[in-house]
Amino acid sequence: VKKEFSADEAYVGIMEIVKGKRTCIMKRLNVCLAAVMTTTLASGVVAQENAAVTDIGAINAEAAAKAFPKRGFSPYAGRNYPTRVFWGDQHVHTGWSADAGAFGNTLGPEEALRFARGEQVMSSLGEPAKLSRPLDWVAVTDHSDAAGTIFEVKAGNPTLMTDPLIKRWHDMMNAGQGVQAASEMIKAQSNNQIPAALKDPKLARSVWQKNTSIMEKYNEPGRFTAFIGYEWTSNAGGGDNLHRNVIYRDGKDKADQAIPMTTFDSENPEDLWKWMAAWEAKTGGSLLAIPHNGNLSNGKMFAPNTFLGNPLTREWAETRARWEPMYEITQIKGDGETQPTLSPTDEFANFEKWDQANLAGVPKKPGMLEREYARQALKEGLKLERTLGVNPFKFGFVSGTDTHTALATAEEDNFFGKHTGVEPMPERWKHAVIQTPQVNVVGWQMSAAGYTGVWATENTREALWDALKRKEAYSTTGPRITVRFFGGWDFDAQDAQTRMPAEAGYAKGVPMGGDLRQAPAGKSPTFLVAALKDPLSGNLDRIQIIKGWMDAKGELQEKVYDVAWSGDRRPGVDGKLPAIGNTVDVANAIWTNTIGTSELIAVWKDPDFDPALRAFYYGRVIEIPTPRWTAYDAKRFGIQMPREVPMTIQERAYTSPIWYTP
Amino acid sequence: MAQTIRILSAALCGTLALAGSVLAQEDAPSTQPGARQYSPYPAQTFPNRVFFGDTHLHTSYSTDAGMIGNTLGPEEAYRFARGETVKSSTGLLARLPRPLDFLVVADHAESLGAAPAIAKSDPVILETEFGRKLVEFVKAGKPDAAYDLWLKAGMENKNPLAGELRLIRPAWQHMTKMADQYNEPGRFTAFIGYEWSAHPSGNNLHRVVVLRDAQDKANQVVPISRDDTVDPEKLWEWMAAYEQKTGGKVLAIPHNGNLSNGLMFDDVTLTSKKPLDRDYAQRRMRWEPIYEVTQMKGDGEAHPLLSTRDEFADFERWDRGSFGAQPKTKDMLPREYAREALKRGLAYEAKLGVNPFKFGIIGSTDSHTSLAATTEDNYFGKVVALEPSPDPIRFEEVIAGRPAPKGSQMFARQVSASGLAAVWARDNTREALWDAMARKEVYATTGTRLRVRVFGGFDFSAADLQRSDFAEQGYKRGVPMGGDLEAAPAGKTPALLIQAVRDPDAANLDRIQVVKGWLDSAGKTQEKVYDVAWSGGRKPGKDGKLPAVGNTVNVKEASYTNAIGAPFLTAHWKDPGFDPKQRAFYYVRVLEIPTPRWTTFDAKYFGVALPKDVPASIQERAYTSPIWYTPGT
Repeated sequence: VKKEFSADEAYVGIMEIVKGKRTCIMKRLNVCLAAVMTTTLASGVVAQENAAVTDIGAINAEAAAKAFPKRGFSPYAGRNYPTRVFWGDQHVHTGWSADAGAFGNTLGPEEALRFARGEQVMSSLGEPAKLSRPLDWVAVTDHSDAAGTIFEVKAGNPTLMTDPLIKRWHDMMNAGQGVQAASEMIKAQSNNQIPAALKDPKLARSVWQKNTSIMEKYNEPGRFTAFIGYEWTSNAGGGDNLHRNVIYRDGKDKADQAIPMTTFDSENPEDLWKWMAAWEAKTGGSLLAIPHNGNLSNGKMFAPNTFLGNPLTREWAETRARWEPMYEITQIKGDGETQPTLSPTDEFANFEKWDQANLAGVPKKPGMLEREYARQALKEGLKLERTLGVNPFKFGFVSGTDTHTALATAEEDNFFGKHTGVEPMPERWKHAVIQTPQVNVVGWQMSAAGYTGVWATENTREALWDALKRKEAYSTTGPRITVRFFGGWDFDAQDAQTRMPAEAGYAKGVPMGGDLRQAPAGKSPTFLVAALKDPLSGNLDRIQIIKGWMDAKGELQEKVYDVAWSGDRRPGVDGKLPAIGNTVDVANAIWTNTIGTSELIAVWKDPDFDPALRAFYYGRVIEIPTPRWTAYDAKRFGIQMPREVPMTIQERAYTSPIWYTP
Repeated sequence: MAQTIRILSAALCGTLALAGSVLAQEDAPSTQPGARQYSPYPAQTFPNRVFFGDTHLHTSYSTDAGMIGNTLGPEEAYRFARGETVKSSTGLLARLPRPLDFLVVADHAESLGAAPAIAKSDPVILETEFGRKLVEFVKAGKPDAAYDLWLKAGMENKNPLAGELRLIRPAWQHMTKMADQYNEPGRFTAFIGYEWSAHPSGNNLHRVVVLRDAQDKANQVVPISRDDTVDPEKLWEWMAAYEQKTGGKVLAIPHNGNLSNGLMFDDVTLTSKKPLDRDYAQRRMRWEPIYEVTQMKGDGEAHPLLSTRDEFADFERWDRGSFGAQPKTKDMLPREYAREALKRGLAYEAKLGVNPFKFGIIGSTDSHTSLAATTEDNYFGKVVALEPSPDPIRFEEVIAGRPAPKGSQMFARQVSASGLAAVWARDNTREALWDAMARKEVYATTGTRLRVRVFGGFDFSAADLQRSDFAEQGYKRGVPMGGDLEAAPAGKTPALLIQAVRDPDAANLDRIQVVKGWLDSAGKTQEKVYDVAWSGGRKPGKDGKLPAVGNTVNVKEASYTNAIGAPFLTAHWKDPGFDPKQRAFYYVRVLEIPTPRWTTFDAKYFGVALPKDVPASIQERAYTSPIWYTPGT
């Protein structure tokens, strides 16, 4: 049994010895030293080992005491809750992704990592690129299907060169016909005419091991985390996006024990979960999967039945919640929080929408939207929890770029596009992204988003991964807004004025991603929410709390509450807070921070709480309008875009929810 | 596309108005508009981040630390600064609220190596009777006797360990090795440095020497100490010789003018007692671009007797004497405090053509515990014997003025939990941070991490303050802290753009002030403090003074709230008293709302009585490096 030995106990020990002596400075010192050497060192002070305590359920003094062991003199020694936000992108494709390579991306994982760490990198089109500030972590998630093969072909992998077709592609690539060669390769792959050598697991293994070696090289605990990961890219046979990023907590030694699962193996997410379970059993490591772009899944991402069309079961729900604690809510291919027809009273719901079709351009049919957006899924989860006993859609929020340029850019003034074909150039705003007879998604609709903020104790794979697992992370559409969100039963206005909201937050409640259960009699949940602007981005307009619940009739409900805002605006008779205004000078792509505020903090109590009803709450922080990337393009390239192209944007952050369960 | 870029670049070059009157500093960072591509960031070279650190930390390698109980060496100091939990020499767990970005382990050069040699009974130290006695005392649990013996020998110039290279060199090389080991470009900067600790007659002339280089260069020398010379001009010679020999770079940071009894900014040179001349002024500024204005042994910005109308001048004041026997007299004060020195520098410049006191400003700790802790709630004491405890010595121990007459002493309770050096740079590397120090783009805080940015120029308007490209405009059309404005165009007045953000883990801001010093037409130095931005709806009274912000401190609980003050303040300030023919400087002081002083945290934590002669709450602050205005010829 490890003994907790606090610093003040150590001191008491010392004082026992000096008691009664009015010591001079040196005497005290001598005694102290003697005491330290003979007692303290021998006893061995045991550092607190627990990670942040979350999910502690009903709040009580005992639980709080566990989270806050009696502290020594230094209030920071032994403090075991996360105090820093680490910024990263869990969704970056390099030229090793077959589609990225086909579009002419010549940058590999190494360039992606160097760029994420803040170094200047030359883009595939020869444009110098650099982040405004380094990221703290990144996950390079190249598509597992045929990962790296284009690079291997180009580099002249000797085994591959024995196949004449591959040799032909190699020669084309090195004669400046790379894009044509890659197109031929992709075509051959989709027609199942790819040369066998390219499907050889040995090739996949060597590519994977190269990848993990690069991650290992750039992973620097304490400074920069390079997660090992990949994207499993299931299109359910026809462009319905069921993609998942698989993120490893572990290093190369474990990751190398199996090559990533591909969609050649299966397109069924349940098989991915089986693969993950088998991998964990084999290696003793830990994995999680992050789905994305439900908005392009044509109703399949949060479908009411399994991939094979069977009814959902408790086991299915448990399995999904086990492997998929996080959902990527916003990225270049649109924002997936909610949709205007789903949230008709939410004036901020119509944001960066990609809601016409799936990835293959197959248009949406009625009933699909309801199965695609995060807020609706969280609500459905409450219902499923009642019927199945387990909530399969109990996820937190992350963002990613899903860039295919190897450049994790999410800031509007530095947007390098979805893929190399739409890297900065005057025409990219009108480039067709998805074009079919029914559907036309145009370049300007790309969203320069987003990054994930992770609340963790340190910048290591383990600490960041654990935070993702416990959902103590949040999503932004690009800016690095610091957001705290705590739920509990006893927050009061004073807690919003303490210098460190987290102290009250962890002592009296649970952080984002946590659970509240069984309301004490007569109590309503209270939330402590705080936001600090990104110093390089716009001021803050407001903080909102979004509540979703299942009413007594089993109907799903939602409501958006404004809980803190800048200036002295007052909600109108309709209950709506007036808009913040807009300072953007579109022609010059600049704005001023004369409106909004740098910091918002509030304690909010649910005015409509019913202790018998399941509910969730999450925070949404909205910035003042700033120039959208299209405005920067218009300014920099001297071009006019039609009026339908939005030129300003209200960037935002979405916290992971806190759930209430009766 | 390449075509477009060329056209864009040409357009940008054409429209860029270079403000002729704004003197670009040598090596000053700037945007390079001609080089701009799509991404704005490759071409951006101006500093966009503040890095916080301590340039003045002692470990067990300092004889006055290691011989008297400090068991933590440079390695632990770096680990603590990087945010790790470290066990203090008295066995307390210690940790920072957030990691620092950089650290200078500045152990005393005097008898460098003696303390670690004693600790391991090194044969070299056992060669002399003196060394054997030191070892014997320390091992017998009488470090006080060892310390007294060592001090006495030093004072009588009879320290047999002075210049003992067999002790100095391995210690120095261990320090440089540890610095290189913990220096991680991009994450944490560990500077190689040391303290040259001259205090003739106990009057403080100490300098921290900071190298830009790694051990390959640093190991070509050993530090100079007061055993070699007590004259700063000799230190500068050593520095010049170092640069000559190694091709490296080095600067020195003086500190504690308040304990110099008038020597720090004296009107005459130390040894020859000649009036300062142009050559002296040039050399001083060549080697000492910045000054440590606040630290544990008191705040050295201003003194109430010198700045009688400055209501915030009386802050953590140490003005009773020095380390020696001579009490303080009023005539010494002008030669001890930074603001006064900056003013006198203007007069010197008018006379000599060069300003010998044109320094930027930082803060640091001077802690001797290896723990660079600066916040009031986490104060680990000046030396190991004063680490947190309810023992009365934590408040009552005499720190300075021991040999002086009664009334000239400073006590442990008066030690200030201060300060930090804040550096505007783009990358956390030795080169980037050192260069920022050399160009004075730095500021001091009394321990918190509030962020402040200042630009001075002739064409700023209030609208620039809230621009999204604030910093870019600031650098393009003006100069940052530490910079120079020259020869105002006809009819133009310098304006400052100022932004201040509170430390996210600490208190709100009370106000931003601009401190102006100038040389009037009669050749007399003047100063004025302007309130330029403040929280809430306060209005200055008839006397022109802004009402106090209030005080939320609960002394009993050692707590406060951010119910008053503002998290963010900005100001566009145009000098209302500007005369283009008069030399002037402007620096910014940012005040936080009152928060509990460390003694108040102690009283709460240990249940001891609050000391009577120190305030229960203080207003932490930041001082920026000045921007100077020089008339045209």
